Amino acid sequence: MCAKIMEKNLEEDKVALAQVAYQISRDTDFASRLRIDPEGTLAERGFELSREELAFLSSGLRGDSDEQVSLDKLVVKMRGNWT
Amino acid sequence: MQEESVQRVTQKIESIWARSDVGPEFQEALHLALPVFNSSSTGYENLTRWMILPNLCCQAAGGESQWADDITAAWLFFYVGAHIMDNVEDHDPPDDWWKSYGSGLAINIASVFYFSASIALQDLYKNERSKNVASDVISDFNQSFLVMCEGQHNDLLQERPTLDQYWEIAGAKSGTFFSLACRSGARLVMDDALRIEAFSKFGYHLGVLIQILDDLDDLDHENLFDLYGNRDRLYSTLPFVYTLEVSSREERENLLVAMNSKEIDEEMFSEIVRLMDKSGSGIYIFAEIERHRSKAMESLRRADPISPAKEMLTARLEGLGEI
Repeated sequence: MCAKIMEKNLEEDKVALAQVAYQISRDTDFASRLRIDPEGTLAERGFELSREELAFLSSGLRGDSDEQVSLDKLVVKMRGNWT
Repeated sequence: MQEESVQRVTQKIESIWARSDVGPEFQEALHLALPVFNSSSTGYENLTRWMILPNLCCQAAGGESQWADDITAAWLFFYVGAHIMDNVEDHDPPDDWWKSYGSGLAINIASVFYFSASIALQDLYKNERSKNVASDVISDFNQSFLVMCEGQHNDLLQERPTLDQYWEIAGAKSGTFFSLACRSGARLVMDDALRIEAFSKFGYHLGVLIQILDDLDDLDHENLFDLYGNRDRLYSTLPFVYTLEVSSREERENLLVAMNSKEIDEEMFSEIVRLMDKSGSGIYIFAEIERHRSKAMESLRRADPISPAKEMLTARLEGLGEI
């Protein structure tokens, strides 16, 4: 499948975003190359994300992999944010 | 402005019960069950910050905050009533006020809140500002509740929802409910379909965002210990749904083994969170928080809100999910 970053309805495909997030967490080479060449890296693996989705994903990937947003940090930071 | 609105709405609630035939003891029980009357109750601060969404959207659309008091009272009644029903249906730990009496009492109080909401909505006909749109607003409340009940039905049917099913359910329940609050408030002032739709979308994404934060809160140590006896509930929260959807078979089995352990302690809790994190749940959930916050902000801009309500809505949204 020819993958490309495209403009699309943000509501369309939540699963693609999930699959890319999983790859980032399980494949350090994929995560590194995604930072350098997002379009090519996604196309190589057959993923399709909108520009917005890629930006949302990138916002959780700050600097090296040690600085990625983790679930436990997220829980602590969001504590009492709503409930 | 928030304090004034909350005060007016609580007076409105008092007046609904005062003009009914219910006795003082029962009214006292109703007060105990409605957190807005108890400033020390859990969630009081957030509830009072968000319950005035119809007031804020009415004002942002160019009206006066108080025009939306009937709608805010109705929305609050439905919010608390639905919360009680949801707790009972999901077998969540009971609130203090009904812990000793059982779920039957809780369901009866939730019913009172639904009928009180109905009275509040009927009062729209008595107000010059709202009588012309009363029928449409009431119909909108009823239609929205049918959608929310469908979402709850599907939630109860799906022991372990897929990611797609999770988003459908979150949209139908939380998205629909917050969308209703914003749309109804704006509708009192304008008939511009595009702007009303923008207010509606703002509320929708806000509601879904709040659902995500609510799910994260379930992973907080104390809440996880409370909920551990009701594991089905946890399997319907976003971190679990995501992990079970994307992980390899081995990773899924490891998570399920940890979840099925007889006892949960700090170590096991950390292991459950670690297993979910290993699958990228933190990255994914953060991206979804950003998505819904961004969509809500974009919708708010399209609604072209008026100051100072514009700044109040923006600040509330910016404060949600910020890390």
